[in-house]
Amino acid sequence: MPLSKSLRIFPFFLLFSLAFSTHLFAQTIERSSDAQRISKARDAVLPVVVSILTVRQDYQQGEPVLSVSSGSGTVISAQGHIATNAHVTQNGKSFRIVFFDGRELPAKLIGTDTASDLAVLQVISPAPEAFAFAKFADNLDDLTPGDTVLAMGAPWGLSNSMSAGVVNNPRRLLVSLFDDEADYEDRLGIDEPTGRYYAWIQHDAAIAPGNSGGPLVDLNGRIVGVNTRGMIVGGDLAFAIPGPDAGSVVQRLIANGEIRRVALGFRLRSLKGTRYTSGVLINAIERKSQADKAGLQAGDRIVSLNGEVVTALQPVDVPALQRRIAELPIGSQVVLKIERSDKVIEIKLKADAQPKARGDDLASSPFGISVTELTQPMGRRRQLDDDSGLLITGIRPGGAAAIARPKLEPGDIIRKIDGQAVSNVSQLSGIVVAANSEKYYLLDVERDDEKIVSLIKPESNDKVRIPLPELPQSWSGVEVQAISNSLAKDMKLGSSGYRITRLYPNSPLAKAGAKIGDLLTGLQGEKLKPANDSASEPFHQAVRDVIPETEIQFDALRNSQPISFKLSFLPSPISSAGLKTLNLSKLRAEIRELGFYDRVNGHLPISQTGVILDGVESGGPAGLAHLQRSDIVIRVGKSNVDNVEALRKALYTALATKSSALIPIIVIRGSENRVLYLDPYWLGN
Amino acid sequence: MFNRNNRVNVFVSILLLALTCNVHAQSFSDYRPVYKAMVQKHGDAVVTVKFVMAINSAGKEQRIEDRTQAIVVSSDGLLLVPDRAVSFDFSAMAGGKQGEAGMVAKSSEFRVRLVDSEDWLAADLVTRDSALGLAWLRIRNSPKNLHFVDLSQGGKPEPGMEFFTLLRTNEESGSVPLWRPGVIMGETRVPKLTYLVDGMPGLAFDIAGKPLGYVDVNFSSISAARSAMGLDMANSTLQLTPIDKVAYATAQAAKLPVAAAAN
Repeated sequence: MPLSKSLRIFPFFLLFSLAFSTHLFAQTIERSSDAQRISKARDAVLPVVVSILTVRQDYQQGEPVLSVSSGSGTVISAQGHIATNAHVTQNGKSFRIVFFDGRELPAKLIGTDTASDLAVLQVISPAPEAFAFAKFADNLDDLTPGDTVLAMGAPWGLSNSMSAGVVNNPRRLLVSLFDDEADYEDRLGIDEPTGRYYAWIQHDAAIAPGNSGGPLVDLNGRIVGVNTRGMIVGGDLAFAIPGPDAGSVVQRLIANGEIRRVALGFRLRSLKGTRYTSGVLINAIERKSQADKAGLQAGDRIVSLNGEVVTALQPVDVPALQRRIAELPIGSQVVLKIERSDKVIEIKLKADAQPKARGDDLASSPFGISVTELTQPMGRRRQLDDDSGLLITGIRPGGAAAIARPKLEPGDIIRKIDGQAVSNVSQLSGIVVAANSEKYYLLDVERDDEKIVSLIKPESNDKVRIPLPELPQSWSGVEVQAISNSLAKDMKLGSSGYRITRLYPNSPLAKAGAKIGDLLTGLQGEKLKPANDSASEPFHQAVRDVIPETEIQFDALRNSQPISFKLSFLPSPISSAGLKTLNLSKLRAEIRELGFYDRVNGHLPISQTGVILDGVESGGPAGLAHLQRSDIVIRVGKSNVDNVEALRKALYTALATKSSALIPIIVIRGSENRVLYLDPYWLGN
Repeated sequence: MFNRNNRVNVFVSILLLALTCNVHAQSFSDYRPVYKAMVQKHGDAVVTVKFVMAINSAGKEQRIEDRTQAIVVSSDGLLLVPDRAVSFDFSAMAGGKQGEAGMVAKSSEFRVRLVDSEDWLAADLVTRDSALGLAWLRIRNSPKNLHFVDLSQGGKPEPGMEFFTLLRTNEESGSVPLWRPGVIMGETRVPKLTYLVDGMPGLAFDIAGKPLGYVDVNFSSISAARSAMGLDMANSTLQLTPIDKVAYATAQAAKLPVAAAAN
C-alpha cells in the first residue's frame, strides 16, 4: 500500500525539529494543535463514512455480466440517506452499505445525476432507526491552497481509511495550460458528460479506486468535497466535487429523485485571450437547437442573461455560468443580450428541458445483442437524422445477430423490426417475449449512414453446455519416468524402461500388484525403450495403441529382479472436458461433475461425491458467497450434492422455503471442509 | 499453466513452421489435371464450419467466433474436424498431464455451410480423439446423399511422397476449393507412427485422389521442441496421421449418437 501523506509529512517534521532546536517548542505546539484538529475532524465525520458494495450489471459481447465494485459515501440524513458518486451506483443491481462499526445493510437507489456525478442511496433498515449523519459545507470561500484536508473512505475496498493532504487549488478546471478550453466538454464523457457545472477542488490527500463518493473534510470538520477523480500515475492528484454544489444536488435528489435542467443549445468559453472584460463567448451552437432557431451564432458575446450581467474572464468561471443557465425554470423565456459586430442584440429563446443523455440498456438473448435506447443527445453526437431507435452495443459471438443475413454489428442502429418502429427497450422486450424461433424477423438497420435490411432468426434462451466425449483409450493407471539405456547403465538398473512414479487407485497396474519404483521394461514381449531421460509420452502411447480390455503382459524389474504383470487395460478416465457441465444462471457459476482426476489430485477418496466449480462470476451470487473456482460443493442447505442436477435441486429447495435465512454451503477447499453462506437476497428472493 | 516462455517458444516455432511451409520445391511441372480431378472427386466434401469457442477465465466466459475446415466423411452428414476446433487444452500444450483439470477452451454452436448452399446448418459434436487430434460432428437434419470422402479407401503414405491437401475458402472469398501440395519429409514411430510433412493442415490425398492421412499441427510437440535461437527446425513440421488410424476412429465415431446436452 502507498504510504499515506500524513506518514510522509510527520517524519520530515521530526528531522527538521531536531536540526533546528530553537524552533522545537513552537513546532511542538503547532503539531499538537494540528493533530488535535485532525482528530476532531476525524471524529466528526469518519463514523458516518460508509463503504458501498455495488453489484453492477454491464454488458459484454451482447450479454449481461455481473461484477462487484466498491465505493465510499457519507450518511447525510437521520433517515439513512447516503451521498456518493453516480459512477459508484451506475448500472447497480443491488447495493450494500458497510458502516464504520462493520454493520452491513442493504440500500436502495433514491436518485442519480450523471451530469454532476452524484447519487443518493437510502439504507433499508430492519427496524426504524435514526442514523448519525454529517452535512456538507455551505460555502468554501475560506478554502485556500495549503489548507489541510482529510480524505475518508474505502480505497481498494479497505474501509475506514483516512489520509491527509493539502488543497492544491480550490477551483480547478481540468484544462492544462496546453489545452484549448473549448475541448474540455468533449473529454467529459461521450454520452454522459460529467463535471460541466462545477470546478473541482484539487488536493493531494492520497485517494485510490474505492474512495469515490467519500468525503473530503477540512480541519473544521466540514465536508468540503466529494472525492471523485484521482490520478494514480504522476503523483497524488485528486479531485473533489465542491461540498456546497454536492449538497445542493443531493438535497434535490432526495426531494425529487432526479435533477431536471434546461438546455439552450450552446456552449460557452471564457474571455481569456480576448480584449473583452465582461460577458462570455458562445463557443458552439448545436444544430436545430433553440439557440440555433433563435439565430445565435458561434462567436457572439453574451453580456446579460435575463437582465443580469454575466462574465467569465477565465475558463474556471464557465462552469458556474453553465450551471446558472441549466437551472433556469424549464419552459421559461430566456432573454439574452449579445454583442455581435459591435452591436448589441436582444434574443429571446425558450428554455427546453435537457433531454436524457443516455437511454436504457437491454440484452436480448434470443437476438444475441445488447442495445441502448438512442436519445436526442446521442443522435446529435452521431449526426443522425433520426434519434429514435436502438443502438447495438454488443453482439453475442455465435448468437442470432452474429449469423443474421447480413450479420449485425456493434454501432448498428435498429430502426424497425418487421416494419414496426422500435425506439425503447420495452418494445424490444415485447418482441423478444413473443419471438418465435421458427420465424425470421426483418430488421431495418442504419449503419454508417446506409439503410440496410437484415434477416434474423431468434434462438432459444437456453445455454447449452455439451460435455466433450472421447473415444475410449486404453489406460494403465500409472505415471512413469523414462529411464534411457545410458541412464539405466549409470544407475546400474539392469535395463532401460519406464519407472513407475505414481499409481492411481484401482488402476489396472495397481490391481495387478505393481508398485512405485517398479521398472516397466516390456509390453507384450516388445521392449520399452525410452528415447531420452524426460519423455514419458511414448509409454502412454504404447498403452493407447492396445485396444481397451485386451489381456496383456508387462515385463518389469523390481529391485533388479524380473517380475511380470498380467492385466487388461481399462478405458481412460474421462478428462475434465468430457464431464457434464451446467451453467447455473441463478448462481452465475459454471458447475461440473466431479471427475477421476479431480479426486486423485485433490487427495480425495475415489468414492468422494460432490460437484466442482469450473467458473465463478465475481459479481454473481456464487462470487458474493466467496465460492471459488475448484471448490468442491458437497452440501447446499440441508441437501447433499452428488451431481450437477442435485445441486440445482438443492438450491431451488433451499430457496423455496421463502426464508431470509442464509443458505449454508459446504465445500471442500484444499485440505479443509469449509462452510460458506449464500444470501437468498442475492438470488432475488 | 501456459506461461510466457512457453508462449514465446510456441510463437517462434509457429513462425518457423510458417517459413518451412513456403519453401516446398515443386516436383510436378503441371498440376492442372491433378487439380481438376481432385476437385471434381472430393471438392464437395470439403466444407466450412463455424463455431464459438468459450473459455472460462477469472469467472467470466470469453467467447470467440471462429471457423475451420471440415471433411464430410459419410453420406448422412458425419464431419471430420481437427480436435483443436472443438477443445483446446492450454495446460496440455504447456506440458501438463492429460486429463487433469486445466484451462480448456470448449466449442459449441457448430454450423456448417455445405457447398452450393447459403444456409448455415446446425451440427452437433459426436466425439473426439484427443490423441489423434480429431473430432467428429454430425449435421442436424442433414440432407441425404452428401458427397463424402470414403476413408476406408485410403492409400499408404511413405516418406518422399507428394500429397495434396484440399481446402475451401470462406464465403467472402467465394467458397471456392483450393489445394496445396505437400511432401512427406520423414517418418517417426516415437511416440507413435506419424509422418513428418510440410504443406497445409487438412485431409491429405495422394495423386490418385486416395486419402493418405490427416495433416495437422502438433502443438505439444512444437512446445516440447523448445528451440528459439538455436533454430533446431527438425521438429518444426506438420504431422500426418496415417489414414488407417483416421478411418478406424471414424468408423467408431460413426456408431455413436451425438453428445447430449447437459441441461
